[in-house]
Amino acid sequence: MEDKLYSIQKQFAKEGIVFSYCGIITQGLTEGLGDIIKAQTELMEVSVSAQMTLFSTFVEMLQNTLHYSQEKSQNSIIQENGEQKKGIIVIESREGRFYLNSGNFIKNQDVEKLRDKLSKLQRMDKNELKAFYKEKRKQPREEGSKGAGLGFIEMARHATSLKFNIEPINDIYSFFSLEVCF
Amino acid sequence: MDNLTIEKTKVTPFIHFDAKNHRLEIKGESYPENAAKFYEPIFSWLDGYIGELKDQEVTLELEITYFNSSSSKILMDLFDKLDETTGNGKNISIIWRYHKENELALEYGEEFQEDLKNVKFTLVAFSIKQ
Repeated sequence: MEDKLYSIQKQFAKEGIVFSYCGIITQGLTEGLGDIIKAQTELMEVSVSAQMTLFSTFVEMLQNTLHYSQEKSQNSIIQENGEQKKGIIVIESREGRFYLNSGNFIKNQDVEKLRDKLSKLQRMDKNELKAFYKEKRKQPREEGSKGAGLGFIEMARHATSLKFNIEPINDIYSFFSLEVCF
Repeated sequence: MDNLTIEKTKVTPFIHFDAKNHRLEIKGESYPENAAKFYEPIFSWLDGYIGELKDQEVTLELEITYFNSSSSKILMDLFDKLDETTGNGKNISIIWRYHKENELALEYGEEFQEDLKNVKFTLVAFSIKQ
């Protein structure tokens, strides 16, 4: 029987996975993982521009999960709102491109709004995305939003493609996954 | 008016606002979990400072290597405030410093510049890591 970790490592190598994390997402984690990403991309001899885009997309994805993920940990350490956020993030490097993937649970009632938001961004070209970004940036913060509502637009602007999938899980939750390629 | 100094952290920039010499400095990275909360005292200080300002020359110098989308909104609000203040007759200029290999920082600087009407907003490239 093949060694379990060796199997996983082979699978990762086959799919070009250079980084993965599945678990509780915190701001501290974002910072720690951010350092790792910075160090790794320097080692990989990636251009400064690509390093910045990778880091930027990575932070936006984690902070999105931090703000919006619906999967709660059983044993919550009390945070700002008494909840812990869980998610998964996978970074792949294939044929000179990076693929950043993130996934987390969301409530079914939020599905349509999210789908509309992202579908709209998928239909825009670079110029439209830039204009939309600037327009949203000037608007007042959305109620219930912890961020500026600009995260997805920011990711889309620097990507060659943005794909997403929303998988129904049960009466309350769906699983949202996002792939940003550049 | 007292100076405002906030030490740099991994996710928030160094802030040093010198009320006597009218030099305002923001340097580092900006990706805190709650950007609005971090920048709140900065906006409060600025309101007080602008209230006392006459025709002195004020310079805000920024060197932000990376900022998240949440910080982007805050920065826009900050620049808008200074833009409005300049429109009301005050003498303010903004310098956006960026490393010449950091295309993203240049791009963001240009985008801020495009949206400002009154305040002088200059982009300055540097080549040595500072």
